[in-house]
Amino acid sequence: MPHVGFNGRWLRVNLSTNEIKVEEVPEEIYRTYLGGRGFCAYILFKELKPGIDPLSPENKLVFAVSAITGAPIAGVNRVSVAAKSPLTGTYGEAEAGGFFAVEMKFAGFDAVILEGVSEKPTYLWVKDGHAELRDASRLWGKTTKETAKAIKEELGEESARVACIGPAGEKLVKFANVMFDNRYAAGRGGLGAVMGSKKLKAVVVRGTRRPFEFHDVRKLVEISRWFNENWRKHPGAVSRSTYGTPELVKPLSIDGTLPTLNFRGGSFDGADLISGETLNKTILVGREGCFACPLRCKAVVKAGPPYETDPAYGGPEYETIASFGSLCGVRDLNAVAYANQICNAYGVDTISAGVAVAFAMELFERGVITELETDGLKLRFGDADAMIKLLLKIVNREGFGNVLAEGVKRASEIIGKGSEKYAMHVKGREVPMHEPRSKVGVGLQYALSPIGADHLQAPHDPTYMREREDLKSLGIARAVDRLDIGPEKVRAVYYGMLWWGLGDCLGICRFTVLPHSAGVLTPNHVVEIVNAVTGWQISLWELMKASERALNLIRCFNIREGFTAKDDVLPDRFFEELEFGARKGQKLDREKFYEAIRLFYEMAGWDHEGRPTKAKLYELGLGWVADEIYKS
Amino acid sequence: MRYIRVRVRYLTPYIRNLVGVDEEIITIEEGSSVRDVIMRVAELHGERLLDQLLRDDGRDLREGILVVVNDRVVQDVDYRVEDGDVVTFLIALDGG
Repeated sequence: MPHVGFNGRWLRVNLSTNEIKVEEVPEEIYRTYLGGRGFCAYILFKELKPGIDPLSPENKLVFAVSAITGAPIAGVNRVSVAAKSPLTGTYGEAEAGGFFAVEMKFAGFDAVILEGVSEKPTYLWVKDGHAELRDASRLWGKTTKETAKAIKEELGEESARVACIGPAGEKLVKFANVMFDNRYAAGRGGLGAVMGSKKLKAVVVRGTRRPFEFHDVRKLVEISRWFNENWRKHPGAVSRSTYGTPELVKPLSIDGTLPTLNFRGGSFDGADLISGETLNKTILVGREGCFACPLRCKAVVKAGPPYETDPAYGGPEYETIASFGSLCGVRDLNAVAYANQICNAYGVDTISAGVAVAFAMELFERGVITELETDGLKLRFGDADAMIKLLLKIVNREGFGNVLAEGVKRASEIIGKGSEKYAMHVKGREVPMHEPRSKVGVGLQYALSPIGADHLQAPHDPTYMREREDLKSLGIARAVDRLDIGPEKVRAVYYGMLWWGLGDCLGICRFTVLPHSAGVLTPNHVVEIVNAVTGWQISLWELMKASERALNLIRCFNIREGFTAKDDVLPDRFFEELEFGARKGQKLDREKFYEAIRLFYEMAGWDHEGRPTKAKLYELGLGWVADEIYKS
Repeated sequence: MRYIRVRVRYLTPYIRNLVGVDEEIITIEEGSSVRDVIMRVAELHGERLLDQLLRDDGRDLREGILVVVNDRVVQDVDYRVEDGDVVTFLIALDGG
């Protein structure tokens, strides 16, 4: 009997043998894991042997959508990509917006599992329930835009959606990403390098009709109509629609919270020049969005010479502007836009790349490295030209760029000379553009994130500063100050991690759903959407439990890889005073911070080593995981 | 009737754009609340601002809006402002 709301079919492709299999998956798996992060965690824990090399044929790469993907509602159609991360050695996962998720599900599959390694470059073509591997030899070495264009022409399928790697993924840059239609990225953790190691250039999908029914189309249309009629009443949504994420640059700088000069300070005197307002006034040529979303928050830019950019690569988000702008001391928005284009064309994560450049600049300014190590580049903060030259070396793995292409953790181990002090990472993954010394809960999520430093694990501290109905429905009833690191904050971050983790299980965008400041849909809407798509009678409680299940499964994946409480740490710099800016002198209290981490463990049902207890795993229906973790 | 002066800051680009200035000094009656400040700046800069800051019933701020009086986040729009207070309007600076 066909499923309601989803295909119930996963595609398994062995690139070593060219074998392609379709697996029928019982509904129970969908209700237990929901999709996205849940599916990826389930598959990778079950199928990967601990200790494997992430760039070996033994690693597996998963693309997964969710039980609700395809619903014609804004912000519920993201795709998850996951594998063991070559950057961190942990479970690795990243999400992307755009249109790929819906197209993949309409093509007939809710997950695609890629195993082994191809003898020669290949790509996977999936259309209307059929899949085949095709030769990609002529595509090897091409940028993401060239690749997508060539594949669509070869197939005669202009409407196909392309997930591909650029040259950086082929060269196994440890933070290479997977790009979707040149401008949406599953950015973090080096999943593009996993694809490159498998000689898999692209996954291409096309679904010409929806192969499953929705349980209650009328309800979905009602919610969609409500969203479209109401989002303009939400100032955060209108703001995001007008400026996109770059709206954050100037307010964060005024607030003393904008990462500047490799996290030395929190205000940037060039913030005006790289702000969302400046972007809108100077290089913006259009706005784009994702499936069914009227917000269209993504900027499309065209910068002029000498840093001319192609609008096909979209435009820089806040993270990119901060990482190549304030973090590197660069005040030229055109140069930042060009750096964004290089990252999207060659296929690398803009956060990790920007942090790697800023790291090198600080080492150079401190005399830890000289022109002898940098191939003659004078890497001074604020030098846009040097930033671009170094970035090109990284994506091509040339000279000193080959060292930084390993990520700042490994690079600091190679460079030595005390350089690790300036390598801003958690578990090997570069720190995003949010300052934990003024948003302490963000510090907790950086340290506790199972995929290394990540800013999208839980809502940020300002979210909890006001009592609101949507927060109350998630069990966060009291306002908590942004600098408070006591039990109320730990609880807010824990519940927040479960809520945003649910977003990754269902493929939900952070921005369109409350409590994000741009949010419009409520937690109750999310429950209604799941039930309208599937016909289940699921509750918010059951959904949150599924998120908790996925979080614990991933935690166990990392434990099996040898990660312990010793890895749930922040770089020392965050326990030192901000050197300049509106919050100069502010720092995290080390003792209170790690006390909060221990409290989080207890709240989550983890022991003092950060291991989920047997009881917690049994409570989540993960007895099979407990058997493996506690087998000795 | 006595009047007080309050400095109002607009931190978020979107709100700043509706108002047209980064900050301003307004004069309002003594005993006024944050709601009164919002009504006053809406008089000065247009009803659109009112619609974006307050919910339709006028009883609470819209989701995502933060009002900070001096260093304190306001939980209630009836919060009373004093002469010399700095009132900052912003959209919560959460993740991007």
